[in-house]
Amino acid sequence: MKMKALLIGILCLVFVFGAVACSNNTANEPAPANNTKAVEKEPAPAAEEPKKEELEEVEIRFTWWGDTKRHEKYNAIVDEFEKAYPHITVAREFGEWVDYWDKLATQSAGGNAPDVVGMHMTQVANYASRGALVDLQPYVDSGVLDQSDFPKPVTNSGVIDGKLVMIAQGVTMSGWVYNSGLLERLKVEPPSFGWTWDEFAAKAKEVTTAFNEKGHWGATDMGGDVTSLIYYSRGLGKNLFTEEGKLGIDQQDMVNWLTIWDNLRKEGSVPDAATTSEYRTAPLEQNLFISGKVAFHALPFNQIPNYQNYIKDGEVRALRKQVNPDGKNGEFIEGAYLAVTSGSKNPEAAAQFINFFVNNENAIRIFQLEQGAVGSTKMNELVKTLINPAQQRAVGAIEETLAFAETAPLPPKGQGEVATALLAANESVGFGQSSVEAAAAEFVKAAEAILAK
Amino acid sequence: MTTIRPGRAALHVFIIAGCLIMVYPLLWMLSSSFKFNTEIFSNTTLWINDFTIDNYIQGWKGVSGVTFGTFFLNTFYIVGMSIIGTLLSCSMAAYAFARLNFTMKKALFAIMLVTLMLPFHVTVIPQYIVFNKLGWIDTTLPLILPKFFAVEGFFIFLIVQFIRSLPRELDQAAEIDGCGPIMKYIYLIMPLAMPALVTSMIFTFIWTWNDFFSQLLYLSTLSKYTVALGLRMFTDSTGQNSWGAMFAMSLLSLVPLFAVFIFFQRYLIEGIASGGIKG
Amino acid sequence: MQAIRTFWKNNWVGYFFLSPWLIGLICLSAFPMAFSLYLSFTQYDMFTSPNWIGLGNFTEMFQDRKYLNSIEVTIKYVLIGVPLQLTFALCIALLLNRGLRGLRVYRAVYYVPSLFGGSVAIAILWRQLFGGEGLVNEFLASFGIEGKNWVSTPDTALYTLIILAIWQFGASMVIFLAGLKQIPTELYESAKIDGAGRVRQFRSITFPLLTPIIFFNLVMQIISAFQAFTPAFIVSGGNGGPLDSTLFYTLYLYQKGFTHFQMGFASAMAWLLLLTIAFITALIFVTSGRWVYYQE
Repeated sequence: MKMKALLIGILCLVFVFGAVACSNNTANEPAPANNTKAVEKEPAPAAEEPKKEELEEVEIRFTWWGDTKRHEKYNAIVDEFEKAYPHITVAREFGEWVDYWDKLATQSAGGNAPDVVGMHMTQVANYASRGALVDLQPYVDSGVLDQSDFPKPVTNSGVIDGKLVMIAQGVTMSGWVYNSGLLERLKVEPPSFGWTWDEFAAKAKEVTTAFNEKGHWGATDMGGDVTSLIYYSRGLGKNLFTEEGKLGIDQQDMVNWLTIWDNLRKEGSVPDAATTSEYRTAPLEQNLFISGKVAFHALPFNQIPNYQNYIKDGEVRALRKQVNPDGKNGEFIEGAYLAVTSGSKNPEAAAQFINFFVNNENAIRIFQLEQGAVGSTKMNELVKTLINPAQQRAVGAIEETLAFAETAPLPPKGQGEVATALLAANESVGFGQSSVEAAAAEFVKAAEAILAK
Repeated sequence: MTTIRPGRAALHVFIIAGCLIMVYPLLWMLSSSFKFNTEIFSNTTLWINDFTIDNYIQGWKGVSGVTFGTFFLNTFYIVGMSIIGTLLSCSMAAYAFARLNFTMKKALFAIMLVTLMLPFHVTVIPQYIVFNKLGWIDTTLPLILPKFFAVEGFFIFLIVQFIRSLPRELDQAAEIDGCGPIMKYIYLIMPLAMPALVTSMIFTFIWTWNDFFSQLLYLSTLSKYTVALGLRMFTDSTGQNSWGAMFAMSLLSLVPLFAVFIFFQRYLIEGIASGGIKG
Repeated sequence: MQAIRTFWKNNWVGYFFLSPWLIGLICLSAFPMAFSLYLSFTQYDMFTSPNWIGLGNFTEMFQDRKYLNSIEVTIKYVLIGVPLQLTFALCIALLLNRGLRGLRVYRAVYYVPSLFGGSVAIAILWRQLFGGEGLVNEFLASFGIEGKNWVSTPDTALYTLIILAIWQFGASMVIFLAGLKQIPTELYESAKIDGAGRVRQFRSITFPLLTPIIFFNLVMQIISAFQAFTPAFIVSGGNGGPLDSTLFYTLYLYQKGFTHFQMGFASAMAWLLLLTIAFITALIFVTSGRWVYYQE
């Protein structure tokens, strides 16, 4: 009996210890408001190089997502940085996309996030709204972070809740592509660069008829893709996610959206739901476009060179996302960014690093088109001289569509859940599990609940 | 040998067919590892049109100057230490549960099983916080040290079940010969539980080898990465994939796992040949 | 004082052998488990402090359609997958235990699938096999049967995962083999002399003496099937599709915790799962007295 009591006592002590340890941890994390205030209160960081004798040894950690080829490039860029700034050492951590976010979330929760992190619009709200990212505006103002060469829309695409939390490494735009060789063989005229929804449906049907073969379709089914829905809503003059982070479209819009794709499926112009689901998670090398089973595929333009690697019988050419002839342009800037975490002990060194990464000529020579067209216009011109035709086409497509782009509010917290709800809506219509009206209603209900949190 | 009866032949055919089913994916990976990246998905049969060993060479080079040689060494170290730790601590705990008596034995056994039932994703964050406070991030300590404290309840339970199948008369005979509990553990029970220990060793090897999530969280420096982490770097949904290299290195990484299994499986054969104690 | 001394004298050996595990329990397991229990009553987004909401997570859970769906998916997986996997493992173990030539090779080959773990290659292979134009459908086509897209149709996707679990039966098989090897061969010899046939031998010798191992495999497979995560994660690309037909309980838990930053909800899910598994395991333990035979 006494032993039992003793054991329970020990367990209680452990619990108390644990709770204390944990509350210490959260108390130590700087409360968001305090941290940004602290950054603003500091005297503006000096823009000139500090005198050499005053430089103390500093270490910062940099993490990014990617594949082995990207790791080589980034490591080379970081080496260049360390050469230029000998007093700063950069510890590097990297992994692939899914692992990257799991690890970053855990590190952030544990108060151990790296100084400089790769950031993306699908995740930025999660981190920024919780105070995990530093406002970089002071560093831009003082010149440590040079944004003078960046088009204003590009810089602004990193602003959320009025704070500049991330800097663009590369910008990309979404659109469609087709294989010129395939269309030639099918004797189908390529559509105009800015094709409308009706033209899209007609072309897709034309191609399917020309294929005349089972298992071949005109275009991929993008009904469940949130980026496409954002374009569509912007075409209507609305925004899927409003500035305040709420749902910007109504049920009728959703009904229209789902109907478009339902009709396409019924006409056989896009694959059936099961095929779409199967290939959704397939690797690039296996997808329907590369194996020649669909003629039109939607993607972010920076991937054009990747696709061209596998398509040998034609050129991969770009098209805009379907245009609403009576409405507005849907285009908005996407890309990959760099941000500084609020727990960083060396935010200035981190800012210097980001500056080097996006502005330094040596860095850009290595980086080239890794994440799309680079943010700085001057550097972009430099890159264009270094790349191959497919890459040039990608940059060309990005620049052309960039001209149409207007500012879009960054997706809010919960955008991931909304994306999942959209996919579910499209699939449930596709698999015949619910009617368009029911699925649309369900989506609106779910999205509003998610965004209300 | 005996003449081949039709029943026996049919059995062999059945088993061999089963083997093909088991092994087909492996064969596919093997053939893919010798194809160029562009061919792997355009030609999904086992036949290779353009043979190349480039995947192995490029794959071995690893990333940024750290080769798979380093990854393998790191992994062997972690796995080796884990095996030692697990075998020691789990066999001790199993012996206590199976053969010794002490207060709260049943309750503690229940607690041990319960620790297996909590999905690991929810203990990840508190564990990370603890290890961070201890300053053990980016070391192999969070991966190895827990193994010395029998955190893998699976093996405790496994060894318990094996020990409990051993007849008590052996124990009694040993006690008559003057063996105390510690002597019994070392000289009687552990040798007899060899199949369980070997099984535990094989599984620890394989599971630790494949346990990429903990390795992902706690290892940050590239030169400390393990094979599992290295493999995950070949593919990325946002970039280019090096499938050929990934398959090549995956196969190489299966070699030690397979070798361990083959080498040690004969110890699974040696059980009790007779009902008595040897020596 | 005397009580403590006697207690110690009686129990020191047991606690001595148990000490590594006990230390591990207290220092390494107890805190994370207790903390996650605490979190299940809070709203915790991993960046800011947890926010106590009492039973809020639990009430939300049972009104969440996806949650209820994940329970259904997981129960199906356990009820169908575990018995099938164990039966396969046992049958193959029995077959392989008969002193066949080439036993070692067969045993190793049948174990190969289990070596793959959570490799990305598995996802690709499973699509190759069960996709719309996969091997299985090609095989069926040669009989004139048109197969559907097994891996991406909501009705059948889960079964492809069950097949995956069965395909990786090697671990259970190895444990069964080890257990079979522990059965003294003289028992079989004396039985044969007494004229017992193979079936009789199995019923009277093999099965009873194997029950501790069957019990072990049953309990462990149930515990691990309830927590199955990796197969669904890699084959469905992390989203439990199509139409949530492969949304395992722990996959939804992971989504809630790491993708939607709702760690409190995830912890609540985890503890509910723990209680369920504990209850079922306790049932098995309690009834085990009737059918498990230890030589003690």
